Amino acid sequence: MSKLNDVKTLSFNRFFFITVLLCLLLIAFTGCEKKQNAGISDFETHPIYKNYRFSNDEKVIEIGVPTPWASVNHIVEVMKRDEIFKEELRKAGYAVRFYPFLKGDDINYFMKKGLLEGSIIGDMPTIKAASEDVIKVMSVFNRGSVSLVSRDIYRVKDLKGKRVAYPYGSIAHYYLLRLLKEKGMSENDIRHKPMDAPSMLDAMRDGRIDAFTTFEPTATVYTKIDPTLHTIHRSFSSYAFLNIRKDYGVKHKEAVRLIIAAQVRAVMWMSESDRNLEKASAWMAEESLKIMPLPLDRYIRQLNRIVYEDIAGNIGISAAVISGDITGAGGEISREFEFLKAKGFIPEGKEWGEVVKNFDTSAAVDVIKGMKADSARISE
Amino acid sequence: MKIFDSIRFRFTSGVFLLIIAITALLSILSYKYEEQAIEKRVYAQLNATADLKKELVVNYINERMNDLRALAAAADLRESIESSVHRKAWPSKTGYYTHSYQHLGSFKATYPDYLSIEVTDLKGDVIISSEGDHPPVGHAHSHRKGIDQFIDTLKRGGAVITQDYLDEKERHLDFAVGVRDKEGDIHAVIISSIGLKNMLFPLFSDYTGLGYTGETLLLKQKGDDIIFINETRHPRSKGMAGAEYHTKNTLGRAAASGNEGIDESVDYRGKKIIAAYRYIPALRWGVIVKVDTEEAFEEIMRLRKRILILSLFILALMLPVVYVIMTKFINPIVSMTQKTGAVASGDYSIRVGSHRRDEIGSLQNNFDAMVEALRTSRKEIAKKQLELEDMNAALERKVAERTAELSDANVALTKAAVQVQERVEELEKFYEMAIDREIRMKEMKKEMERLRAELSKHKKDADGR
Repeated sequence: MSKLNDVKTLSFNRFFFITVLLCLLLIAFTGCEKKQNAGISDFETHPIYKNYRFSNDEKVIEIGVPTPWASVNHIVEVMKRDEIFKEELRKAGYAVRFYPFLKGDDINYFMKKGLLEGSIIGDMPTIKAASEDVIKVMSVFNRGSVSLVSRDIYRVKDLKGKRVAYPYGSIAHYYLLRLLKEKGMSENDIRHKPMDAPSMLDAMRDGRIDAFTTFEPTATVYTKIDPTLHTIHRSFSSYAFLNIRKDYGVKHKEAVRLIIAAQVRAVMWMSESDRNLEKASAWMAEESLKIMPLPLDRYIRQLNRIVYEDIAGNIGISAAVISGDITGAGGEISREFEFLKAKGFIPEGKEWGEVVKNFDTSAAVDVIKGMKADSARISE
Repeated sequence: MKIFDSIRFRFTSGVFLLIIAITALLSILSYKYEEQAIEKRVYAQLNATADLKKELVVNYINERMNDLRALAAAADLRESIESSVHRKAWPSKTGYYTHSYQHLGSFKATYPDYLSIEVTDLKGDVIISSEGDHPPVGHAHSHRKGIDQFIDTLKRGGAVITQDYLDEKERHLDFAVGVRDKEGDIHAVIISSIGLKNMLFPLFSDYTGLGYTGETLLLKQKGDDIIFINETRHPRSKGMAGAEYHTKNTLGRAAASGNEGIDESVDYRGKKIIAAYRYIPALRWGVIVKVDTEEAFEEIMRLRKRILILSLFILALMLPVVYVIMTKFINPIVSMTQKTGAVASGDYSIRVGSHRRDEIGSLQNNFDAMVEALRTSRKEIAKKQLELEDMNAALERKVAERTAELSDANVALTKAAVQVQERVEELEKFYEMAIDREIRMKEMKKEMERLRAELSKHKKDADGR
């Protein structure tokens, strides 16, 4: 009897030990899960994004757009008002909604969650999403510029030892490092201050940074808000791409075609006259206020100028086509891919050859061939 | 005293060195500050000029394009073109043709930079030309090759600029827009050839604010080479004479490939330059506003010289002044040193006799007072010494007298001592004799006692028996 009791006690102890161990493991795993959830809820409880009500209807194409961003926002605003686009969508049974976001990476998150069907984002987030096989890159939306701004510095080589801010892992970051290299400097020659664009002006005014790189129109508008700032260097080397979620694009090719056509028409419409450009700038400034308190409406002339320059180089309708020059091995985008890999945003094993398959070089060509109307028909 | 050990040398050289160091420091700071200000002004000026030149090109291009759009949208011209396009035979002698020809001709005549304005069909054949029948209407213009590749864009209402003739003798750009028919479809293209010589280039040969070496260049990338679109201000080097290309112009390449900024480089003459560069996306051209570094920073060189001369002048002015001031301060000290030496040597008649009211004056007066006090004190001491010497002499005399007296007394005493000694010796002898007698007496007494005792013993023994 006593032996039996001993055995029972031993079994109970073992059982208790195993249970405690399992509980601990469970807690550990649950903790990890919670941590991940906390990351997710950061976006979902974001003061702006939490108000977005994404549709479950797969005929409603929801597209995320970083805002403010000249001239991407201009093109989108014209597309929203293009009667031809609306009519074509209605005929095909689709609806398109655009959502302003602060960053391309935020849009990628919602794309991965399946909440957005499309995105119009810059090179870096596009490459990241394409590397994860989340998207298919359908067209070049625009080619824009990135600027380096400072107060007391006039030449890139004078950045040595200075504090330079940039959005980490963005095209502005890549541009800065490329620029330093071009001028015979290394990334260790400057003091790095990773920072999002909205914080840069205050950081500059408080003397926390000596220079910053960011996209247009933010850079130009900051130099207008604070006239002691000036652009040291500017490069017309960043791209915006129209991306469609891979699973969605396969099923809804017609909708994608209509979006690309609307994009081409919007550029045509803006390039028709200065008046059109000005209207697009005003719409863009108004839309930007929804997400960022930047008084763009005071800088319509500057916006016009930026957009004029952006679209002037891409006036041919073939500008929407993703050409081999853009995606070729050793080309600009592949170098950006290598940069992201080096910075740990893309797994080391990933090769450009795999990623480039997600760039559709024929979609825009086919759309342009079949396009009937030329310029957007705007309802105001 | 060695000169290097003197206070005059040490103090003066110390102050000189301090003044030289301060002057050098202030000069360097002032130079650096001014240099920075000049550099910033040069950069700002080059940036402003580059922005202005870019703006001029952009506005010029925009205006020409808007002109063409306005022309293409003019109702009567559109009607004439439509009628001409739809005619099976080429309408060179019809009213429509004449109207269109005159319209284009008058438009061309308004601006000196228009070389020709032509209307072509979508295949590129000329329908109407501002030049009349030259080149022949109805034939594809040899200069319209570039338009063909943009025909899709033109058909959709786009506007294009082609640049196939930048290296021709008559450098020009071709602007093209579609002309719509009544239904709104593009059915013809209107093309204007804009010569750059009369309007655009003069804007770039205006070197106002750019000094003797500055210039503005319009550049375009062609393969690995850079084309100079406008004429350069300076003759090109031998290797480049007559050539359109310069492969080493890195700033030109940067500008023509979409970069804007400011930097130093070497130009087509091999001269060091500072240049602001801009990009014109509509034409994919680069604008470079440059000036020779030597000239741009000539002011800095002048400033360097000016500051050097000013520093030397300040030093040349300061050093004698400082020397005089230092001498004024040091001389009394040196004089005091010498006078102190004289006082130390016993000359108490030395006086400084200062009229100064400062610390040195006070020191000198105190010195005088001190020397006076010393002199008085010395005098007192001398007087006291004399008295002392007198007293000493008297004392010595007395001592001598006493000594003599003592000496006599001593002789007498010695004699007495000898006599005493003799007496003592006699006494001693006597004493010894007395003692000897006493001892014998004692021994005799003892012997007597012993004998008595023995006798007594014998008596007792005898009694006992």
